[in-house]
Amino acid sequence: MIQVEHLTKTFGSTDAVKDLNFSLRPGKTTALIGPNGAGKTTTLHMISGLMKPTAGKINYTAQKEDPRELIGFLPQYPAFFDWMTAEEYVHFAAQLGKKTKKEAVSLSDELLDRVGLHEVKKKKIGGFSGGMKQRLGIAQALVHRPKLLLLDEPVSALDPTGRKEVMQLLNEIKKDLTILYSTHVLHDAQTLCDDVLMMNRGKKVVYASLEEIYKQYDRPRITIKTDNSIEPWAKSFAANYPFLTIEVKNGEATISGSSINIVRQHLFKELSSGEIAVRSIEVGTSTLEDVFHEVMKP
Amino acid sequence: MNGLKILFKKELLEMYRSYKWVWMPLLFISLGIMQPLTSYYLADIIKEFGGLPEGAVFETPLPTSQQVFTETLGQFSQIGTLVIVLAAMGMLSNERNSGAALMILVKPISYTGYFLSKWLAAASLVIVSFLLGVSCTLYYTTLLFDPLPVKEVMISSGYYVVWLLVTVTITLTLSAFIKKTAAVAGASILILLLLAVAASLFKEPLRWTPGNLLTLAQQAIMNEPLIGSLGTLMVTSVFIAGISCAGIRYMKQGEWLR
Repeated sequence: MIQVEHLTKTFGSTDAVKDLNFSLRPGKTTALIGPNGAGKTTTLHMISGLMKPTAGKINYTAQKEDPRELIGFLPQYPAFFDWMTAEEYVHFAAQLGKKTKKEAVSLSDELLDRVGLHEVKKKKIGGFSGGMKQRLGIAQALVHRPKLLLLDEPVSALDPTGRKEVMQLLNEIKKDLTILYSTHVLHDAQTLCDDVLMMNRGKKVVYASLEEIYKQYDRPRITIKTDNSIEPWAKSFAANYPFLTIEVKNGEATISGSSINIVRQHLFKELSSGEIAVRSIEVGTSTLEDVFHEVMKP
Repeated sequence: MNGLKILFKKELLEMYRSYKWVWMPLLFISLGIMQPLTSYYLADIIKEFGGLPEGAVFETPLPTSQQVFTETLGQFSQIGTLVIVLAAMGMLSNERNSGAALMILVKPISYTGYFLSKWLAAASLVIVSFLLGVSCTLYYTTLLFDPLPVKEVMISSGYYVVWLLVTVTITLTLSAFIKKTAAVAGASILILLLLAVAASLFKEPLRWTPGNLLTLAQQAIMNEPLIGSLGTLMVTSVFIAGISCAGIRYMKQGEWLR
């Protein structure tokens, strides 16, 4: 979809983004993850054409005179005109995206429906809640039928309900689009994205598909949580299976061994005796969060 | 100039919803009515409120209609300018600060179109308001004094409209350069004042500067010879185009949206 080559942005003497290279897979959703100040927003702004790179370039595969025609963008804090109605704004955005008046009417109708703002489309944006504004932001980003959707922290400022709504919406639209979105909420990234791009201090740290990351960072271990106290059982377990290590922390026991099969085999046999009341079993460890902490280590 | 038409429409709608289309014309109309009325009834007003001692004889000669017209333009320059600056000061800086500009400029439109849409909208508002105000002055001047010569009124108003465009351009350009809206207003008024005062103080060396437009508007209604009018108009056009381009360039080049 796009190729980013040696992308660099310098503000004064600090490099916000430094020699960034990647290319997005068409039709896939990529999460851009990194701590504050990693250069996520700067990267998104450069791809969207709002900011000129200090060095390097961005190649858009589809040939268009103005690449902004292909891009839908939702900033971290979308700002609308409070005196406009939702319908008017989406309409306005569609026409700015080079749609004719007629197309704009039908497209904005369709999108307001899709983001669930159909009932309030005649209401002034000034009275909208954060979640509604975010959904309106997605509608205005999609209304000119872009090929690439860029979202800057689309869920960070929302409450759990709003977050769920937006995530659901993104899940529905992801199949027709290439999406690049930055986020802090690693759990959400895990459920939504195909690829993960991690940045730290302006540089790319990891760029791989979610499966590859899981494979690469997988550990042969199983974590169990129980209702009753786990320590006595853990002690006897350690004595019975000296080739496995067991660690108990905060009422959780983590059992690891040389391979996941060995751990699974022995642990499940032990658990089937029914001595302890298991509440949850988690196989492997690599949540995106673990990977994040591992790669962001200085 | 992609998107110019849509952005222009949006500006007009915004002005309509924020009642700029109501109070700006109303202000110019009231200034346009007040000046001929106060000039005509000056003697009565002074008698009524002046607190003159008993038996004082106070003769106020009735001004000519040309003088009344000039005085009205003077009112427009003082109060009118202030109001125009206040109405236009936030057009760019507010959208820049709120982030609304970012949402617009990420669409496939040009920065020139963005700037120009605001310029055109502000110019139309100001010109329409001015014309309404002038019409009222003409009506009351004709009613209370003598009718004004049509040709002179048109020429004079023409020069004045160009001065109003200078006002709009300076305010908008500064709105592109400066983030703080109050600072935009202060700087605009200061610059406009300097232009006007300097041109009237140093008549000869500053003959062709935009400030001379006010003098030309006065001379036109008095039917005096207009010296250096062509030069002034040319210099002013270059000035308007030049600082607009500077504003647009600044928006494009720097990190305007950060």
